[in-house]
Amino acid sequence: MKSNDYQISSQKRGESLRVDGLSKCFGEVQALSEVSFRAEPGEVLAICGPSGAGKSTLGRLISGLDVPDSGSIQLGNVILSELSPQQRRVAHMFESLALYPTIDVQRNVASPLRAPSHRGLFSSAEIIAQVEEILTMMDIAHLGRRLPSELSGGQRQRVALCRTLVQSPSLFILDEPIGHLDAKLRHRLRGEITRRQRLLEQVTLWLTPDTLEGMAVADRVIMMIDGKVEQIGTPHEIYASPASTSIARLLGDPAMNLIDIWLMQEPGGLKVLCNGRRMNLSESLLARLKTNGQLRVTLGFPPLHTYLDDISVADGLQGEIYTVEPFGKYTLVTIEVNGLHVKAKMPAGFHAKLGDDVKVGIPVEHLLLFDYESGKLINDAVTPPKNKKKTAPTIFQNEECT
Amino acid sequence: MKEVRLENVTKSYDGVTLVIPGINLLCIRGEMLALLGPSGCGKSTTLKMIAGIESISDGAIYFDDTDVSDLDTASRNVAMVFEDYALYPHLSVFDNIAFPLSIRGMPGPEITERVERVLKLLGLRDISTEKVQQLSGGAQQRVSIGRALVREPDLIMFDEPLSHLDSDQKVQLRTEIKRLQQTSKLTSVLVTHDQNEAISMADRIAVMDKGILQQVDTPSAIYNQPANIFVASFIGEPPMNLLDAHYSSALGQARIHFGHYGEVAADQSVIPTLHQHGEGKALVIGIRPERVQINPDEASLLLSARVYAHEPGGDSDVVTLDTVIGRIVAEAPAPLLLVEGDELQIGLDPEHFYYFCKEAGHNLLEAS
Repeated sequence: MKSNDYQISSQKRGESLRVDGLSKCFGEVQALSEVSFRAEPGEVLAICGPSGAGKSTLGRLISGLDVPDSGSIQLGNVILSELSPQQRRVAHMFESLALYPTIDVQRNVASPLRAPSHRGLFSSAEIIAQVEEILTMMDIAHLGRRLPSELSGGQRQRVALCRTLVQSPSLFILDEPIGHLDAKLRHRLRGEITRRQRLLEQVTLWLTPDTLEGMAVADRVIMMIDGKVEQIGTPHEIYASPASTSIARLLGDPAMNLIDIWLMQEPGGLKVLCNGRRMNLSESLLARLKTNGQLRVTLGFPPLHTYLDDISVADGLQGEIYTVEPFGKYTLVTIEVNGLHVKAKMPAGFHAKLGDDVKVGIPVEHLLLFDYESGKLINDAVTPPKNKKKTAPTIFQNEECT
Repeated sequence: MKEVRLENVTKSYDGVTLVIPGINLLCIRGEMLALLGPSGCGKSTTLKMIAGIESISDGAIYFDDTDVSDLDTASRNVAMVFEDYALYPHLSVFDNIAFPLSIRGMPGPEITERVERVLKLLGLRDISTEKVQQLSGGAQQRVSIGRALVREPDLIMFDEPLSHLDSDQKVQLRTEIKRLQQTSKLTSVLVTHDQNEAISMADRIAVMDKGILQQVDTPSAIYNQPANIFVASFIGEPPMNLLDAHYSSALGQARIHFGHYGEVAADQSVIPTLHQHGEGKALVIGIRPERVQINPDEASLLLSARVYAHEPGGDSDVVTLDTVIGRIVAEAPAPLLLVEGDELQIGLDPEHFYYFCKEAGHNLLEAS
């Protein structure tokens, strides 16, 4: 173990981060299990997942606020997990903000530059200039003399963000940095922050439950589910081939449609059941499914490529209009199919009455298949046909499909 | 359910500064009206005044023809649905929904009948005996909507009802609320900072800024015919591009000039309006990011652009571009194979321009 007074020197930046087998329990709850990843110098890495996925816990273990049960955290050649939080010099923006209530905005933002970790690095004039610059970038320079209690929620969040970004740390951790802001401000700031962070040599970890935000800001995205890393990839990779239905559920606004179906080989051909009722799929779709030969799969297809046809069209899933939500750019239509909801993004100006009968088209070229049991994406190129498990499912015995 | 009307309602906390300088607003019976605006715009204050949680400083609030201005919350028959559900965690779904009725001493059989009706309406029958603490956030919020409905209130107030939910549950519940709204014709007021929630659920949206109503209209009118620069730039993701410009008809050619570096023939239909606004007078031209052409038509204003930033966004990607007339944000179907520093030609089609008075901010084509 390295000596206790070791501290990562402020000159030493641009190190890669390496997290190996990190696990943490809180009582009975396994908050993190075996989390491993790497981040390169200057990389902005988004850590996404629903609430309870372990994002904040991971952040707290890296900055030293909690101690892992096992695993290691390494920055360059330094084992971070052997250092105290002060020695690690991580700039960490908390979701709870944690501003000093009794000092004004300027002094809040300047506080880390005046702390021992930055001692001697900057003159007083430099500190004032840096604080001013970052406050201006966040549009709150005019609030410099206010106390945190005199600010709105969105303004307080920006102060906390400034206090984090102004530092020259070993690593940045931003925990939901722009969540409380309105859309206009969020769009501008996410662009400015990522551009700034990419020019720096340090790694930035951007924690957010909003996967679209993560995709917009990051070079790569880590998808966490239930304390585990479920997928790591570029935004495009994750969007095009989500590793599981748990991830697919979090991608897009709205996320892709996911429908569980049973496939049964019968003398007349392949029979498809969905939510206990028979479903007619197009020939091209059936051809795609046949090559998989799975007994039970989940179909995934994006609302953008889901289309609606007149009820007289032979192909497509029969359903009825459940809601119509006219967004400016497009109209989001929810269709009830066999008691399930399917969403389609239609052009702006699309009209339909609630209860109208329609046919829903599934775009074969945009169709993803997931294993029903595990939820994992099935790569149809490598999955051999298997039809051995022929236990009769009970759920549709009393339905019209018999 | 009743109609709600605010007449010249003002609010001041200190007797000097008016937080709400005078608001006139109508929530028609059977509609959901959303109050939308940036933080500090007065939307929550307005909601609290309607509910009777905050007093009004002047003016009057009517439920149908009854002046309720001086009634306290309990006497207004208003139900609230909050961001954090505010349920009794140890009680079952049924008992949580029944609670407002049982504390009023309603007879058991009537309670059961009313609660059953609400459970059915919200699809909660299968989980009616479960304790609410075991449910997902989305299901808990459905229970709190049920608790609001069961009282058969005159008005339901939704205060940031989806803010605590994960994205998939948020999308699901907003669809459910929209459906409930349309099938049950509730009269409701929604307060949110999230424009997608307002657009998706509300029949009409009241956009507020600094305590003042900017526009009250249907979601599509707010998007397609914004009343002014504030509404235009606040509604829409990414926000609308706003470019300084002016109009001239020198040599008989009606043209729009962007500084000294870009100009394009004005659309025939807008020439009279531009003429009336005045030649050379400052304009702001708005164009939505999804209308910026990455593969431009010849008729458009063509601009050389350099990629400043590229943000992948799922169905579509967003690129920020530097041009001679300023920074322009474009949105196009993904994946857009552009990286920082790439150069390309983009087009701005005058057919998709919005025209605002730079000085007063109003939309020149929508001015009444």
